[in-house]
Amino acid sequence: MIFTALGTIAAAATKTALIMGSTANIRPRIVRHQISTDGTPTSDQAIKVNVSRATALGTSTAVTFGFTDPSDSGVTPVLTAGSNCSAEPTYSGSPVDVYVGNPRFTYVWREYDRDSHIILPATASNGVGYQMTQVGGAAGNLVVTAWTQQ
Amino acid sequence: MRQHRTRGFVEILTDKGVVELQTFTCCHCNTVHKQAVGEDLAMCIKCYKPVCARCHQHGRCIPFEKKLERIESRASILKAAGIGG
Repeated sequence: MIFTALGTIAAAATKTALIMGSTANIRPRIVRHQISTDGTPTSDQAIKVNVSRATALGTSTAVTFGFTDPSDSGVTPVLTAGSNCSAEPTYSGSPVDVYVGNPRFTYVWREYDRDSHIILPATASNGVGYQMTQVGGAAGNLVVTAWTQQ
Repeated sequence: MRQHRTRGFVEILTDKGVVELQTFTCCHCNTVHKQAVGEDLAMCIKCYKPVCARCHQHGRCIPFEKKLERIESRASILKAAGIGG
């Protein structure tokens, strides 16, 4: 089943809008994500958003998942999601995806192939976060939506 | 532009239209890579799946599945020792 999670944070450097967390029981798979900003940009200077693996999830506001299939609405997801991180997650290694682009643009990545999903380890407090590393001309909020298969 | 048998793709919605790029995810490091039109992919001859240039240069086949198992076993050892969550 696929759950959607929406995360936002005021556009600023090294701030995480959305953190997806795994648990010891499952290996969630991110199958799609969408990155954009919601304010009128102040300039055309590019934003940069890193999608990186985290070994600690930091502090964030819990996100209530959405469901692409209404029959999944009775299921309690095992994975977790947090928005608007007040304490940044601990990131490790190189980013698994990087978006650099004009703040007016919307970036959508999606995978068809099971081998191509971003896989989270079955380890508590591990996950993948969406961190703005360069604010550029962005105004308003960084808005990230992730579709995760559990 | 998307081609046949694409593994995934990126759409960038711009004020001048939609820009599409093919992507693949490296079977050794699980990172997403954008693929230029006509660009040949490096393949792992053991996995027979695409690998990124860095993993290709590395030259050893360590599937991401193995790396996940290492991460998970390390976490369970630390938990058993009362060090990790």
